[in-house]
Amino acid sequence: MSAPVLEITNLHKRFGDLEVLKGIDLTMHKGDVVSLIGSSGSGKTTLLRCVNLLEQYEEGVVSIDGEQIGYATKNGKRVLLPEKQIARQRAMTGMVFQHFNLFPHMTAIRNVMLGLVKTRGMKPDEAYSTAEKWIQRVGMYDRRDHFPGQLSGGQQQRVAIARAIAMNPKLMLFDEVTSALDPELVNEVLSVVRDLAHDGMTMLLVTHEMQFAHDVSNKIIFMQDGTIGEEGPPEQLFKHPKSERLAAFLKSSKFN
Amino acid sequence: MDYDFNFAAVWRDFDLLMAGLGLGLILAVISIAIGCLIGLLAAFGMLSKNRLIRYASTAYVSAIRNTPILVLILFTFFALPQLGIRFGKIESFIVTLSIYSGAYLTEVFRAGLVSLPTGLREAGLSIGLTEFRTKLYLIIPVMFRNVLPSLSNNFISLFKDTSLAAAIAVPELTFYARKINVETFRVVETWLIASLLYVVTCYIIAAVLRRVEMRLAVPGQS
Repeated sequence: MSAPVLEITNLHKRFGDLEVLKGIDLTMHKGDVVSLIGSSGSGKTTLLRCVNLLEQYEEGVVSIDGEQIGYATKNGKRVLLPEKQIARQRAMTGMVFQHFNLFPHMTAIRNVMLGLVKTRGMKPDEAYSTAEKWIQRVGMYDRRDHFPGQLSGGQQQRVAIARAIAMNPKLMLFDEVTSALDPELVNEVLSVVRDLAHDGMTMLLVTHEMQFAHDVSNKIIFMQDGTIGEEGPPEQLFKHPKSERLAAFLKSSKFN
Repeated sequence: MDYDFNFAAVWRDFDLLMAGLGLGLILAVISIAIGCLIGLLAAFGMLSKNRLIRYASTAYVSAIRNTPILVLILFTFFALPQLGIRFGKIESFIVTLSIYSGAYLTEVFRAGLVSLPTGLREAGLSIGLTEFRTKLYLIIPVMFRNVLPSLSNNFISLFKDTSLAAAIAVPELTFYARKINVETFRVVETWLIASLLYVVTCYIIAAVLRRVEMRLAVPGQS
């Protein structure tokens, strides 16, 4: 069997005295869709951000396709890799943010093209046709020449998804991608994510949309105080929570 | 009021005033261009993680902003040659004005950088850009558009400050006005025309820069 797409072992992360991740282990294979759920402050987003090194961490190993991310061991010491290497490794994952974070001074299609040209080294016309294809996939072809400020939140988020996926990442990271959206715009974004899952994209999501997590994931992880409180297939986790904490959490998030 | 206005003498040398005006504009453009580079470096310096760089940038800004510009002009032109650093008077003035505007622009750029959402940088990093490229393609272009109105104001101030170059005999508008004044004794007429030239020029610059701002504005952003 080939190396897992994502392998996290014993990940610890501290913000000063506060330990927000207390030894996380997680393995994902190609096509896996894993949703991280849990109350705020439980470490879901931090875990996601450690995977592409937007957060540095004190202990543990994150590997993508068998390659250790961000750090190397030299003379028995753990050292941060040079910036260029980290940049290359970051492009192995695609990240979609809660607040979209589109580049405000570029049109939708240019947002998608930038990474293709500057990171992937594509020629502009090749990048344009690749970007066009993904813009089309997320249903934004008609508005490809609009600036982010001219788009609704849902439309911006779909462009952001196209920007990440066009880079052909091995793993997609979704950080509460519908939390900043008006309720009527949530579905257009979720249906794009659902399509990607159907296509076999490997995805790690942080979400508060329990029904969506239930439908789209093959594994749910309930995070609790920086540890994995409970994990398993959605049916088992949502229908038969083992712990009181998870049961209470599911009740409060109105999942039935 | 029984002052007899006589503009003839001023009109005779009007081309000198215009030449001076032209030089003033050139000095302001060169100085703000260099000042932008200095300001950008110092603004990143002020936000640097390295304490030494941070202190050095802050010291530069404080030192320059707390010194009168006339003193800076005289210092560069008269004092630096004594220390072995020699310039022509025009070069000397450009150096002074660049360093001067750089200090003010540092504050403008620093404020612009601080007000950017952190998500912009993270989005750049997440598509595999290095920190430098993130700055080059995202941080600086977005910040620059946001601070363009302050930049325009700075440029107009800077253009007016070129009148101080007269103090070291750089032949710009004020220098020629003083010359005409001394030669013709038409005090009121000379300074009236010189003032009007400054007013009209500043007005035109402001109008042009407003158009530039509108052209560069990102659609959909207020």
